Amino acid sequence: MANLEILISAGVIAANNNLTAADIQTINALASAEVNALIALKSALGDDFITRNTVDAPNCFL
Amino acid sequence: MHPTASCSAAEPAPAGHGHLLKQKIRLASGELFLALDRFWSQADVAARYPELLFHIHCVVRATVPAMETARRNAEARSPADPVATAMAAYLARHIPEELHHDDWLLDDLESLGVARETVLRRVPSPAAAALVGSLYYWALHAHPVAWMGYAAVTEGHPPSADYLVSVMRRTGLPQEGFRTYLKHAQLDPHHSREMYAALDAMPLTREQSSLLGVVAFQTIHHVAGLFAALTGPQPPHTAA
Repeated sequence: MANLEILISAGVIAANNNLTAADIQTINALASAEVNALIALKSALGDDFITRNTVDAPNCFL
Repeated sequence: MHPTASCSAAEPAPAGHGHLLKQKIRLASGELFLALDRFWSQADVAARYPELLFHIHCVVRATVPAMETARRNAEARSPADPVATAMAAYLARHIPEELHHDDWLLDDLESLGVARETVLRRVPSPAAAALVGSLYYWALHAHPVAWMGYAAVTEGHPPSADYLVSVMRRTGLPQEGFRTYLKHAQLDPHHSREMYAALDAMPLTREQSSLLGVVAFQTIHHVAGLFAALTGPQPPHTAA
């Protein structure tokens, strides 16, 4: 099973996502350690999460 | 031995590690952006800002010691491990640039009415311990290149000076309370470019490239958690 399907099944990626072909290529090239980490961390992958109102809002820093 | 502990026997990863890491971070940053969005959109963000600086101080006071730990481990693995050799050189160059940022934060907090002694006496935040503690683990027990996965997240989304000015206007907080953030708005883009250039030049194995992704995903999760903990119905109490 490709990473994309695994991550959709795990709820990390929405089934009705807007991922580009390049995004899907990146996701399918992730190592199993990365896929497992995303699932364990209950991460959320996808463009619909990226476009925020305050993308410029300050992060934590070093 | 951890699979990332040695690069000698593994197959090299394709070129463009920096670009690949950026792509992974972009895809996984939704949780972080959502937490940032919620924190900075709060109507009472002025009351919460000193507490944010306290939490950031908890992280930043540990940055240089964590980098030193990674550098010493990288030196110990060098010269048999070319990635460790490159990491030792990178960290030796970069550590001086990170010195005293914790003091800058204490100055900012003082200008907001929070005494230095109060900050230093408080028990550090669990969110900071989780964030930096995991970095120690990765840098010591996996590979010191793990530092780059952490730095790519913490330096890869620099604050915007325009946004900081808008927060000052909205909250009425003094500019003196934002000096560290404003300096990072200038410094981080440069640090980020330097870091990605160093990463692109490293002969990473596939396992090391994956390690960067895992560390970056965990860093995103912990930083998002730090901001989420400061978002909610009750503003946190920051003792003056």
